[in-house]
Amino acid sequence: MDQREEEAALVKRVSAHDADAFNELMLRFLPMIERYTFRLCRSTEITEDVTQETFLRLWQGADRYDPAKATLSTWLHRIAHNLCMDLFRKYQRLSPLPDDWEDELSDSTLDDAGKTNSPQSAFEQNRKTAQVAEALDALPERQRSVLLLSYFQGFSNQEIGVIHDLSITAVESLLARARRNLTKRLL
Amino acid sequence: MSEQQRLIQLLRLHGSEVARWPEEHQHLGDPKMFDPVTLEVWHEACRLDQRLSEDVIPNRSSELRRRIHELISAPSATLMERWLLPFSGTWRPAFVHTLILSLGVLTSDLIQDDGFVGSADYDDAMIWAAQYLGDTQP
Repeated sequence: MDQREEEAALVKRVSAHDADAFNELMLRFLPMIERYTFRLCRSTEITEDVTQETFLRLWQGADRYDPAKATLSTWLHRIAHNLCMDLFRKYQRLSPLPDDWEDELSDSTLDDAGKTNSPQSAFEQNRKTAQVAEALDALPERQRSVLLLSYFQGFSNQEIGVIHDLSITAVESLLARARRNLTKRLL
Repeated sequence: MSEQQRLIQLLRLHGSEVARWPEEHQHLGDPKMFDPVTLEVWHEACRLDQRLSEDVIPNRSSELRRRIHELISAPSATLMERWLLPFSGTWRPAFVHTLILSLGVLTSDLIQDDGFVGSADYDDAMIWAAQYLGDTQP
């Protein structure tokens, strides 16, 4: 059984409200949905709300998932992305960084890559993170999302096309423009 | 498209790490084989990838998993609660306070509106309420 079939089998169990299968899928996919959402909106609260809602939709609507059309990861990212866009529209929040987000960062557990040993190196790491975050946030929403899905989430251009309802050519164009803009701001 | 153009396009789309390139093009990604122009683009892509890797973010997955698990353990109450109170975190008290405030403003408007209490609309409403409740003499 390949990974896609295994996930489809787990989703089928979730549609019968099997909590063990649901927990297994949360273990696999929740961290990546959380990371994507946080990088898209840079708000802990919105990230928690969107991630929670994404998985509640999986729990309540698992039978809507069609493994022939998309991988489960693609499907969940599409849900999370659409929820973020709904919230952006609702609050007209074009993702400026909240004033206290660096404090949030230093209080939280960091990814393995960001584990730090001293307050000085933690400060330095936060400063670098803030610069990159600001550069990412300065990108137009679609460029930012496509770059996040490609670079940080590891999706192929075809999968990004499914998440955004875009052709591969359009995805490539957005990706190239995003990297060009980031090069100007960060290098 | 020449191989050099294709390589430059791949570097500008996916960066310097060959593992991120589409599988069918990964065999092209050996920097030792790059010409000077491609090598320059590769160096730039390396520097950008290095900067992007500095974006580390908070990780609250275990707490969130626990919260979601609690929610699915009480599905019927949760559904009603989510319909009535669609926000969580600090938004929820804000939403409740706004709701109460709006109801207060609306109610005070109705009470202070001389055109409602004692008006034909008010009488009609009282007659309708009395009939609905079974009292034929309002």
